[in-house]
Amino acid sequence: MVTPPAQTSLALLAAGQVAIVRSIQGGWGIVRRLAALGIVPGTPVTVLSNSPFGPMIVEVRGSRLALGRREATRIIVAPKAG
Amino acid sequence: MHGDRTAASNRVAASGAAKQTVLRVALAGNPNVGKSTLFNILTGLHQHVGNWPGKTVEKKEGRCRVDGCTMECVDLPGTHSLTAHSAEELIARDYIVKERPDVVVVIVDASDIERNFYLVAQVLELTNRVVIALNMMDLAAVKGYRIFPKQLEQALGVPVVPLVARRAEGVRSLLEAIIAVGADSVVPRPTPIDYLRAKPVLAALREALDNDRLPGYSPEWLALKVLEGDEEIERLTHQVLDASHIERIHSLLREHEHGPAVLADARYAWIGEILRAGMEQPARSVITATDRIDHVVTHRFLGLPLLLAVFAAVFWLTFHISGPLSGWIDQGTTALSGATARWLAPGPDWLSALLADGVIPGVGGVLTFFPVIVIFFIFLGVLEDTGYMARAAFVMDRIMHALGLHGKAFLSLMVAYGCNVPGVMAARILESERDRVLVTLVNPLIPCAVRIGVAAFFVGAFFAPALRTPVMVALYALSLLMVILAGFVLRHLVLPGDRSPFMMELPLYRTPNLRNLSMYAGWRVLAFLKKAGTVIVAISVLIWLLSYFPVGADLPDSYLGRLGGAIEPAGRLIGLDWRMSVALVTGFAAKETSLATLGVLYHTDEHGLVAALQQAVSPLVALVFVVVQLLYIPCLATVAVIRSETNSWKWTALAVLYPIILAGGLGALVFHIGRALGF
Repeated sequence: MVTPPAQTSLALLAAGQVAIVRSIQGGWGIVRRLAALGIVPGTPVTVLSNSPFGPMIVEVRGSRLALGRREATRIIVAPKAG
Repeated sequence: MHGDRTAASNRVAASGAAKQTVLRVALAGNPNVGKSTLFNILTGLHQHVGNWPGKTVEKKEGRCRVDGCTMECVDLPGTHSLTAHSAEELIARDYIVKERPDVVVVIVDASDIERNFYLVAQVLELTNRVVIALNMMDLAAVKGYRIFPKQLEQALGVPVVPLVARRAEGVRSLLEAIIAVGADSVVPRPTPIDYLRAKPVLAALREALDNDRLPGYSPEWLALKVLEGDEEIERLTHQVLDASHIERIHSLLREHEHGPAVLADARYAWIGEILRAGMEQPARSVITATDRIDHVVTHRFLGLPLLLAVFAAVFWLTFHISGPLSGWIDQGTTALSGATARWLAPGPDWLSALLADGVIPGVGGVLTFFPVIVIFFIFLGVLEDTGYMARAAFVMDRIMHALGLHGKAFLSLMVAYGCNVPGVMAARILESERDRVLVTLVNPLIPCAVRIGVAAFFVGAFFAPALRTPVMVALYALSLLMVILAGFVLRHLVLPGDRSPFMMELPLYRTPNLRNLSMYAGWRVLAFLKKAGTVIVAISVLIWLLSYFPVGADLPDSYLGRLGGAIEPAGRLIGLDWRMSVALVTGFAAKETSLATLGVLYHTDEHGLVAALQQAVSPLVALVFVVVQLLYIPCLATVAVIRSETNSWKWTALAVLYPIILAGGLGALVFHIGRALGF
């Protein structure tokens, strides 16, 4: 069984990958804003679209969210196997 | 919760019988959940639109009467949460805390129920006098959600009413639920949120927050906000609490640096619990039409060309459809002007001239632009209502980075292509002050439909048919280039700082709704008409007066002619004669006026103007004029709205001055290069 990397940045995941949010790097402001849009530590996210640069689209709690590249970089996740 | 209940019953006792008949109702909800649609259904035409005091956030109030009960409704700004993050959030929560409405209706997008309930959780932290309006039940079904309002209501402890606001379904039951809560015949008992790990620190904070000094706020709520690091509440506590209490709070916060995340986690756990009782969702999310469309529309290579194609089609269709309509309006006003002159011929000269040469052509000139603007905003409304605009923001995000902005800024810039006045107002969708100012400052460089119309008139007069479209496209490209250049310079020299975070919901695609469309296009067109009806008529009359007086003087000796003489030297630098310089000056009032002024100065109506201009100026000078008028200054109405939106004379002055320099420089460049090339 291949173990996926324990923790990585959301921005580095490819389309189709599923991961659990572990932490958010940044001040309380960005933590609160992401929380209001559904992203808190423990939330499962599915990457719908991601390209090497530019924003990405993720599915969070049944809805789609566009995230800027820099914002996505600050979201630390644990990818799910498979 | 107990504190809230006693406060509510005190209020009932105090206001007595009046309470029975007048209910104050606040509508809260996330952005784009149909809040405004519901507000319009409830209040109809009985509404008042203004701004919240001291803020450039729209405030809508209205009233409706149901079963002998009058409801005074306030449409709170759309927000995802009730922190102090933005002016909108602050307004929404201050209203609930300070104005204590009888009922807060939280409108929830059923197709996005889990995230929408985050706001429900935060509203319930403030008050229990809540009714949940579960909107967009149809979209929820598309996603395979099965929602059971009764079970949801039981799990939540708060009335829940299903609704399809776009089709006005369920409104009656909603009104009954509002009245029941407002009249205290139903008392909501919300299931409390279990803050789990945060409970001890919340208790300690409640103690540290000396409540006698902070009346009006519930201690539970204050503790939550302090733990979330809410700037506004922090400011408040610093004002009223003594040093020992502050120190105690700070040490508690240092020990619990994950406060915001822990609270958010607790709220979502509470939401999960309630939704498990009240809804079923498919194990795997259903592949919807939205997924398939997004696959193409947001594609990393296809997205941008597709976006360009969409907007090129919008512009082409707009001018194609509006062309004949504008032509008819033009013929109509010319005929009216002629008829008026004949009818008034027996009367005094000045009266006939004032109406036939001043007022009627002035107003007519504005009206010919009316179809363009209406049609453009209808198209933009369709793009917005279907959900495409959010994707456009996504696709443009990378490009907007060049301006130091993110994708959402593109949405407000797009509006400016119709008219700069609603364009400046559309900057409100941006969260950060810096972004709003930056968007506002580059706004005047975006050629509105009217300036494009003036340009098209000249291009039609001076260029061969085959060249006209390429020249117009080149003019659009030039202005876009200037927007990028100005944005780049402004953000480095004037507005340094970090780009604000880009996070945005991408709603499900849906077919546009007529009610939403007419609302969207309606108020933007209204902004244009208001300026047309007031500023432009007044300025047309003024220009006519300046050209008519002193009585008996020839045109070059009139006041207008003397003004032209005074500014002629500046115009000469870029090849413009005095008439064109005057037209640019009067164009400041409104860009439409430029053509009318040239008509007066060349002593012709607009049809003869083509011939007169072809005789008087070279194609090069015409091109210089077009380039300059495209960029040189925001019109008076835009200046006024820049002032009111930025609330700053400094930014207003900058928005007026730098385009003049830019346009003058560019005009000189075109003129001298053109001459050197032998044109």
